[in-house]
Amino acid sequence: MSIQADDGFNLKMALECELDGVVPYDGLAGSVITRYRRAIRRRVAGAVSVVVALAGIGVPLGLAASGGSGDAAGTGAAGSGPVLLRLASYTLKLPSRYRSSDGTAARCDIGVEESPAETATATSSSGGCLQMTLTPPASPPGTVPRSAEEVTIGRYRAWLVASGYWRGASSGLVIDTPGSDLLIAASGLSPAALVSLVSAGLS
Amino acid sequence: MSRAAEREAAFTRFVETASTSLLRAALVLLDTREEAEDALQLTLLRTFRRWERAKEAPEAYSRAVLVNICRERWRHRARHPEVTGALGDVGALAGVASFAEAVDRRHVLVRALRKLPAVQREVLACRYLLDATVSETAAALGIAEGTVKSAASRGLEQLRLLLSAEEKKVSRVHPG
Repeated sequence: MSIQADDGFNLKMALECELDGVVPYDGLAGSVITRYRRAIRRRVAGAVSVVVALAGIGVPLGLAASGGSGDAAGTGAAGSGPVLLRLASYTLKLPSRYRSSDGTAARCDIGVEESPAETATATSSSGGCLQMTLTPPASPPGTVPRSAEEVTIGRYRAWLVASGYWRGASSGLVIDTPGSDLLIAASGLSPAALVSLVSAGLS
Repeated sequence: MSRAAEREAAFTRFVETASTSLLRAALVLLDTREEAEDALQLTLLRTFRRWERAKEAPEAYSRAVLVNICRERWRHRARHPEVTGALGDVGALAGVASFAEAVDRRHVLVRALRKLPAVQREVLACRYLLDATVSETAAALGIAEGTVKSAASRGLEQLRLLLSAEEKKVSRVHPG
């Protein structure tokens, strides 16, 4: 061996001489770029599969959340659309923020005289609830409080009762329907809002 | 030419000019040609991935990346020492090992460099294979310039001793 490491030793030249045959393979840049593109494609595919997987989990959960309240005891719940409360031949169409709560633990806690077969309830996403009860006829106008205000709901005469008449209700309506009285009480709704809602939705 | 095509063209030019010295430095810093080529490709991949940042000074960027990759390999090797084969495999492996050793024996300087402490090896590789200045070497290795100078000096001294010992060994085997 002729390499001598003295003070004048040029390590760089010696290394270049020794490593003369050590060169990268042809097309190295191309293979690096290809590898990079492949990695990007894999990352995109991974992201897409995560989105698909999340959608796969999220859609059934969303469906369960929106449609899970079901249609119990003849009170129609219309999936993600408006909720329909039905009692006898009366249907009250509620905005989509309401969910029918019949048959679930989240029943409406309003103290209107009721029998389970003749009551339908719905809860609102804002925390309020609404109860519709069918009672024997001839109660109003004699049984409504003096402070009740007579209003017209569609073709029916009705009396608007303020907060405090029924336990837990912020407003209520006693509707004089043929052969029965329809009581609609709500919590979390002002009297004016209840009249507006029932006038628009009762059929 | 699109922006992506320009980027690839600039990167290709950089690879053509810098990859040989990077490979040689990797060969000094790591143990085998395969490891060195793998480290080189990873270095270039990481450089290309960050080309927008690296393009101002791709040599400096790739130098630092290569050093980091080699350090990662050393740390990995320290944590996962190679498992030696069973006794029955020794005969078969011995032939391969001796062949590899025979090929490697040509690289006297490289083998001597590999015997140096890590910092000295890194400094000498940066200074003499990657043509980095003292300050560039300090930046790539994350050490002070004074440390670079002292490590270079001690590394050269150590190399000198190792090569002298190697020469004496060869003289004994092949006298005259």
